[in-house]
Amino acid sequence: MIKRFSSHTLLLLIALLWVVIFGWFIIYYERTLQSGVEVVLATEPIDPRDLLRGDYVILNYTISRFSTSLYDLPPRIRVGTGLYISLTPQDGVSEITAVSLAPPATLPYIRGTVRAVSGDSVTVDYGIESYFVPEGEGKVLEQARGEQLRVRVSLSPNGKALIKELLLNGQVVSF
Amino acid sequence: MGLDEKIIDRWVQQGVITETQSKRMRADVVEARKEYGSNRLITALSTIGALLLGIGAILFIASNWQEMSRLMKQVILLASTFGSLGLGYYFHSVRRTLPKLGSALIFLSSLLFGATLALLGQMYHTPANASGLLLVWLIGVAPLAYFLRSGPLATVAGVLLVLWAESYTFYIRDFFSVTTDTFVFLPLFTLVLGAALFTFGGVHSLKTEFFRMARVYRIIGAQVALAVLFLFSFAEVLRELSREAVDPSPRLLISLVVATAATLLFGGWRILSLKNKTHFDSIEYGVTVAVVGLAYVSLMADLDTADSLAIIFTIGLALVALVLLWMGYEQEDLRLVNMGSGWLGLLILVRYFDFFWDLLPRSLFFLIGGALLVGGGTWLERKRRQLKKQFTETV
Repeated sequence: MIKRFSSHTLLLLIALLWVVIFGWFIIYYERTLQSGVEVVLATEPIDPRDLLRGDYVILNYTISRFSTSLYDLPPRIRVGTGLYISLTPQDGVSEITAVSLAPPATLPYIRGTVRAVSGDSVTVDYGIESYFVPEGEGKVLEQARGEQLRVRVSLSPNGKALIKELLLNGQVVSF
Repeated sequence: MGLDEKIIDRWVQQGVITETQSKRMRADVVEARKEYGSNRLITALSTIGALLLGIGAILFIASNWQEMSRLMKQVILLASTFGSLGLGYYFHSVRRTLPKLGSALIFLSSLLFGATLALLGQMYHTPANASGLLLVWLIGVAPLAYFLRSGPLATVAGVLLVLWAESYTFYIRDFFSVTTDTFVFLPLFTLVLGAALFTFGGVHSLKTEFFRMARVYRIIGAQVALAVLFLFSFAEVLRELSREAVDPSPRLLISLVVATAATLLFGGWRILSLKNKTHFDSIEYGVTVAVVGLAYVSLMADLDTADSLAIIFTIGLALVALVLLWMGYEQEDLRLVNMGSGWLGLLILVRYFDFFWDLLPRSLFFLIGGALLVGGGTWLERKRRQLKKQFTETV
């Protein structure tokens, strides 16, 4: 009886762990979207990808690649280094004003991880490089190459970014 | 006549049991065999059915993706995942009338857990194959695997552990494009990781209740390690790896140190902790340490050394496969025999192509190769069947 009771308790604990995981995921993301600091980033789609999860477009932001020598950073940045990029709006699009290894004192800033290093140029991932689209509809964005594509991003207080919407020539893209 | 019947006959002749008792025992043996066969069929059918249900739920959401609100999608996904877990547990452990179906539904819930995570990520446009997702999936599934001591769940956990370790170490954004420049170290780390998972399984084997999980981890670890050794047996691969002189990232160095230390220390600790140690345990540990050593030998690969290193890795792989064959035969473990003979056969086939492709006229190459394959395949199959019969009878 005790064994049976404990096995029920164990399963309930596992189910509770699952609830916490899913709950945290959904609440954190919803809160970031609803109450995060909004910035607009300039981007261009690289290519639509057809993977197991359906179609998605890879977004290449203008802030994804920059030269470390322009900012107050150590001379040698390695792959995997976490960076905090301070942003300031210029002509409706947020641009980099500072890059640091620690969270800056003022908002807004976006948190990223160095994905590749080439000389003093680094490529940074912000976790917003994928935009999922309904199957077969990624072409619309692929054809937008050369046009003005912007992404409205919501930033949590610790710099985590989430895509809120896509803007093509100033119009919200909806699927 | 199986071994069971032979023993029963001997007992009758020796007067240990009566003829009536022997008849009853024979009937029970036949019944037990039937039950075993029927159980396997039920497990297979239940698992396929549960998987189809899961695929159906995911496809339903996928086909109505645009029509459904985010909340609706989340409700359906969570209801499928928790419903499958709850129903599975009910059939498996509460009502206990349909344990096979229960296990299949619990297994399905572990897959739906990952699918729900990936689809939630998709709803918020976050990279769904990122290492964080794999880690969270592992954190969700591993407790379930340990709680139920389930082999299939341990398989999911083992595979997730390998994928997570790889994606974390190499910052792999998705498994269709390796994005870091340290990918040249990927096979080296994978080899050490395979040895570490094998050792991790070995530690589990110290406790009887974790035997099934131990076996799963050891098989996954061994297969991963053998696959990399096979890859390293090609000089072209070693030459390719030598071209890029890149610095390993701090994360890679830490991962390598952790995996190597875990293999050596836990493997040693297992040997010391074993109460009834056999020479197989010492050999197993020795081979694991040698495989980790071989992984680091791959660092010496460059344009000049690639050919000789490929020979070393070929010999290494052949030796490991032979040890597996020998251990499988001695321990009457058909899985080990299959694994050893499979890798050895593949290695011989590939080396045959390497050595004789340019040396022999094409027709002769294919004639000899075909004859060798047919002959070797027939011999292996006959030997495998012989062993299977022998092992089954002993059990």
